[in-house]
Amino acid sequence: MDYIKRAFLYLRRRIGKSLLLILVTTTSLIVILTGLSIQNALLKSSENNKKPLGNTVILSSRHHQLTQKALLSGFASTGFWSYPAADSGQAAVSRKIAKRLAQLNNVVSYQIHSQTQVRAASFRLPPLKANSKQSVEATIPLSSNQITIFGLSTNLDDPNFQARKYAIIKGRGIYNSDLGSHNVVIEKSLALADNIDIGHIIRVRNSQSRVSSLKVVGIYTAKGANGHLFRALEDPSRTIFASYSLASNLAGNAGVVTQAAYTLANRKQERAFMERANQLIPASLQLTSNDQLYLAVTTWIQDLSRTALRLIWSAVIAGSLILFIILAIVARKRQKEVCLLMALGEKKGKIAGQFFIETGLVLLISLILTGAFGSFFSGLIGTQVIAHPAFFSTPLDINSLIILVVLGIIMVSVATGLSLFIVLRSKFDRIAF
Amino acid sequence: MTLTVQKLTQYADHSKKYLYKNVSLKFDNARFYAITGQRELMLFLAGLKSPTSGTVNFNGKNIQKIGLNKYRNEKISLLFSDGNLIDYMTPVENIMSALSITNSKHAGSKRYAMDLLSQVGVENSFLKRVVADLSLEQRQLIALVRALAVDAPIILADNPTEKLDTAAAQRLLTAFAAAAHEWKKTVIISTDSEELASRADVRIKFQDHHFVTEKLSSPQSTK
Repeated sequence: MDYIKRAFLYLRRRIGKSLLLILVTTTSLIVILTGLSIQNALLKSSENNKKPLGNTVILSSRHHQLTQKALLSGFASTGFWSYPAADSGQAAVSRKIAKRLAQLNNVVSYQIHSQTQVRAASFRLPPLKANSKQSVEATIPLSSNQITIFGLSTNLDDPNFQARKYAIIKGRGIYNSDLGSHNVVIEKSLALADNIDIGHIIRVRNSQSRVSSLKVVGIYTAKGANGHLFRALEDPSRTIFASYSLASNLAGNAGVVTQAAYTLANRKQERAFMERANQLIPASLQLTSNDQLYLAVTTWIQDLSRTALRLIWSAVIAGSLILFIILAIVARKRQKEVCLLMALGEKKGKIAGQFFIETGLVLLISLILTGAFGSFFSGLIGTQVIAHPAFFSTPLDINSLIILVVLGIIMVSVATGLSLFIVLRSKFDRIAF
Repeated sequence: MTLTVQKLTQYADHSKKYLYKNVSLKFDNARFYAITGQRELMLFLAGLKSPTSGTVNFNGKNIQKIGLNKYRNEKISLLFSDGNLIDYMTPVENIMSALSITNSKHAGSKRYAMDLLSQVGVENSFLKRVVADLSLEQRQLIALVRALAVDAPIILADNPTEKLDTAAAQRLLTAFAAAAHEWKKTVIISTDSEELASRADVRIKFQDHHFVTEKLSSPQSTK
């Protein structure tokens, strides 16, 4: 029976101590996993949103202030960039100007957005979802049969459709060719609530009590609302996608939209674009570059990232310390065993090998347990750190898993090494005789 | 095989006074020795401690030159007063561990370990229990079997009967004598009991800073 078999035998026969070691190691690994998940999610969110944010310039009314606070609030609640909603009363961007800016050099694409609230005139609505109701009330109060008409150029550019959080399940989406039409795309639960299908005509009443007929050309399903470039979409069942021209019409002014966003080909040319565009817009409008907001959010990400890093190292240090204490207590009781092995002529290296194999097996089992249940528990811990589970939907990449394993090895090795130091430096002749 | 002690001098701890000076002893093969009154000598014989001066030689070679770890691994088998077994293992696992560590020719042979235990009279019902669950006498007996199992020619036992009652101590000493006379091992034990020491072939008594050797029986006789 060599030292490897002895290690297996010890773990099996001292099952209570082994389970305690596995519990401590697994707990530490889960906390480390939490830290890594937070870092990973922050990194992914940051990368996912860097492009549209970094290259985008927003044209909006001066009344519609894009504050850092509002942006951060949107990011924290959804994990995606989302601009605060502009209410219809402040929708004062001329469509002409918005289109003129789109003709400037360096603009690769643009989205025009217009939004308004209407009421259902010919169909039933599904009940408001509890959580969405709360958030809707926090932004724009909706009554029980109020609907948001979300007008855009095309929902092909919509982040929720791009991220496949929203998907067309029947018919088609809104395209540029729908400009001027009454074509709309509704959500599945709205369709189910009153058996509405493709080709059906639904009627809505705007704030001036004018009734308009809308043609359903598509039905989409929402797997989870993330947010939108312009505003966080609330209850999807109360959101109807349409061309921005329809939204403006329903709002009562066909020539005015809420906002326009221009994606620039080259970020270095942003200043030149801003200078030229500012010459074309009246004083009532403003252009907002994302640089300052991006910097603010980046700082916020860095702060959180530092917190995550502290969490990781705290877990490594605390885990090592607790493991060391347990191993040291156990090791003191095992001094006699070590003495006996040395009296039999066992090499110190093999005795150390036995201890390392024991803790290595504990680490292996703990890593398997962490792999099996870690995401659930790290989600629970993580939501206490960054109050949103969206951060933990990102699976760990291979680099994070390697880091987890390496940190586990460091933790276990430090604890085992220190406890071995205590055992092997003891004068075993005094213990033996 | 001979184990000799040459010109051994040892001072008392923290003192310039010596305990003994220029002691020379010789331990022959297949004999049973009992040392009384001086347990520290066992540490020197086991290579666990170095004396102030003098040497311990195995077949004429200083054990320091052989290498203390190698000496303990190949030449001697140690028994402690409370049965030095690995307590989470069964008797057979303990013996197989020792066979593996000492690179015995019987390493890996479970049958060999079980046969030895059977020969010494360890009941089969004990074999599946971990040694922590066995009595001290049973543990000492298994430790002795382990010492017999390995290829080392010398068995060193530090006060093996210390925690046993008289009857159990007598039975264990009979087993030690058999180890010397039937298994041809050199058995050296330390004990505080003069009476138990008298069961050995040779009694080495420490008194007045001297070791007095007393032959009690001729070789090859098991009492």
